[in-house]
Amino acid sequence: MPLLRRAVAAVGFCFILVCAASAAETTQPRNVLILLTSEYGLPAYDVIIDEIRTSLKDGISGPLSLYAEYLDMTRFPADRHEQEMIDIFNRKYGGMKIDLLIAIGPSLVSVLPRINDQLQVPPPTVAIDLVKPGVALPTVLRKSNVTGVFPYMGIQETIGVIRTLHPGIEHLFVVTSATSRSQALLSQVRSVFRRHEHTLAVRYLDRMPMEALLRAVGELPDHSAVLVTSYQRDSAGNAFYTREATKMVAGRSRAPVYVLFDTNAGVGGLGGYVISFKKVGIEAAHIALRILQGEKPETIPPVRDGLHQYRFDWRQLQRWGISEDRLPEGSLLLHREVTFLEKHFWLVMGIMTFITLQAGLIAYLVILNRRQKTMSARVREAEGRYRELLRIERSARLGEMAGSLAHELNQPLTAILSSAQAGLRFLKSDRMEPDLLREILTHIVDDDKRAASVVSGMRNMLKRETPDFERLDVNGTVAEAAVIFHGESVARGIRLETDLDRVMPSIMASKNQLLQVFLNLLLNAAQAMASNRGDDRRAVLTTRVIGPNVVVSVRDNGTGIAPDRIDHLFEPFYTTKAKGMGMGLAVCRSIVEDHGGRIRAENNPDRGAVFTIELPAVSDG
Amino acid sequence: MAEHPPTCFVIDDDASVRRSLSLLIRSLGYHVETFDSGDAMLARKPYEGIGCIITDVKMPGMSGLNLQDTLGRGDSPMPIIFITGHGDLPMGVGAMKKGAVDFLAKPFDDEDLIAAIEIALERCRKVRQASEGVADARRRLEKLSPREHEVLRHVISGRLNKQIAYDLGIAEHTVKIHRGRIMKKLAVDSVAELVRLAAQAGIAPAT
Repeated sequence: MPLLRRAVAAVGFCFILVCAASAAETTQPRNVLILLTSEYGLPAYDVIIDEIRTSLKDGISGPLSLYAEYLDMTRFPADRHEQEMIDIFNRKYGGMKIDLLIAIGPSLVSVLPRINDQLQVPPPTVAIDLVKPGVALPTVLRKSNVTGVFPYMGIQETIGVIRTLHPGIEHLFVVTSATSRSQALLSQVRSVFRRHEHTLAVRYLDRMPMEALLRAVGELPDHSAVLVTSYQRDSAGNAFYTREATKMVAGRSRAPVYVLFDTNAGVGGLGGYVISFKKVGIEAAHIALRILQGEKPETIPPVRDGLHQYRFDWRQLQRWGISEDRLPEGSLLLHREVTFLEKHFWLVMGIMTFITLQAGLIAYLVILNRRQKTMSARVREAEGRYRELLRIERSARLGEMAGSLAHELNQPLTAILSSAQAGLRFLKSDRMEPDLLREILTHIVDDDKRAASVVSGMRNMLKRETPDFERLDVNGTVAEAAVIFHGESVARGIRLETDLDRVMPSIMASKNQLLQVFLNLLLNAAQAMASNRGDDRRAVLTTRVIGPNVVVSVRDNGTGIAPDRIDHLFEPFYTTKAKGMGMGLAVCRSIVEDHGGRIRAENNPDRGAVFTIELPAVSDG
Repeated sequence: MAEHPPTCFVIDDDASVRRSLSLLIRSLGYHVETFDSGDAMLARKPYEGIGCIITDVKMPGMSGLNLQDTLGRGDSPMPIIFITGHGDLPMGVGAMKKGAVDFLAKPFDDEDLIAAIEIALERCRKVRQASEGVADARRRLEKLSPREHEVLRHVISGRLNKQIAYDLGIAEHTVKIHRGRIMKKLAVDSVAELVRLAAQAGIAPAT
């Protein structure tokens, strides 16, 4: 008898010993029996059992024997089979003390009483089955040893969602199988739909083979929706899991497919207000734990609400053009193709930001580099031009000064010639005396030296070599500048005075460059005084020690500097003169700054201007 | 007139030049006075003797040319020799037109300077002498009475005694007596001498 063998094979299929205690422990293991009215492998069962097993394993400290029995009443719907299965069950467990019975439907109402009848002591029972919403539980589920989790099918809510998401809905097609159990469920569905019949044409696609069903859903009119309740068997007798059937229907349907169980969501249907078997499992496990921990079933109220969830398939939303925004609050989206950006938004943003910043930085650096290259090329070019101008400027200055330098040379040469000729004449006239001769020769020597110093000064001016810094007496250099400029001052009718500080520390400087600066300033002063009356041109060279600095100033009583120009005086190519190149003061400043000093220009309180140069003194000098 | 050695006045802002010129001029046997500016020279008390001025052209303060103008307005008899480090020809031409003796570019040869100094001193001497002659003539003419002065003007115009007497409405004999007194007072021996003296004193002949 193959039938019985199969049944036996099913019975005691599962023997799970959860043993947390050591072998030495003497505590009797507690027996938990799970009774499942349908077959092994039902997706809803897997979810629920998984929750219960995990929960009991974690929550019970003592040893635990877990038994599971599948009555397989859906696939073997004959009453005889049902009775045989119950008989086997009762024989098998009749003599055993059952600490907890977890009975999972469907059809507990018919199964449970028959089990309880056979058992010596009715065990505490956690029942799980579908019930009608809003009405009292059947009597068998309200017994004192029974509590449980009793979800209802969220048909009403699902229709609400269908109406919301498809405002123009006209037809609703209900897919259900031809089994008695499905028909029982269908009666629930019908009662709900009766309320919608005047606005919604409801048709039931049952009692047809799967082939016909699929053809039917492929030809649905516009403004339709499909609701799959449960589907175990078609009219041709082929068995299905609802999940499977839903997938097939959804694959062919012209209209969006709605489902009622979470196990059927996400396989092609759009979604619905579904029973979450995970929630059911969690609640059942919770109750089971409480009972195993000693609570009486009658003190634990059955759970009927909070077991649903709005669940939608994101891909189907896309297919039917439904925006996420229109879904009920708290909806769970399945298969949501979170774009890479959405999934790793902050990471992506971070990386993007980083890349952008880095790219920006690189671009900046590249630009900087390029700019630097062009700049340095330009700088080199400008430097070359600057040097050239410097040289030209100096030559121009030299040309300007050549006349006065000639004059400066002429003076001692004149003196030497005259003195020597005087000597000759004294000798010729026999009036020469030793003192007179000494006087004449002394003059000649002095004047010759003076001429030599003019020549060497000129040579210094012409030198182009890099400056060699030496310890320098500022007063001496200023005096030398005054000497060199003397001819010029005479030529221009300028009274040149020097006012030198008595005690003057040395500075480290290039004498030639400083002379260049002083002479430049003197020339500027001379030009500033050109329009003064002939006897009213006065330039003063002053040296002072102020703090750690030696300060040299060149003061004139000329026209002074226009206030708006004073800030630009030292900029290259800035000139107030019609013919000037504007390099003189720029050169001065560069030289002074090379010496670690500063140069500034101010107007005198009365008239004229003063240029002041500060140079750091040598500290130990 | 006692022959006082002539004096050269050297004006140059350059001490070396002053010293050497001083020596050179002293070697020629002249007196030298040096000044570092035209103003200093002008501040000196007026010089009556024979002399000349040797001045630099360009100096701080008063230039040599300014000095020339100033001295010219004061009727200075001293000629000016310019020495210059700046061979400025137009300036030299201007100076020469205003009576400068020479315009020497530094450095100059002593011969050139000596020649210039000698010319200058000679010119000075002449001017001095001329002015002395005039003063002497005027002094002598002051001794004459108004009538004698009048007769003198007629005499130097070359008229005969008869004509003078007629012109003045006096006797010819009286003219002779005046004439004799004039010759005596002015200590001249001939009419020619008389004419020169009157000319020197700037007396115009009667017309």
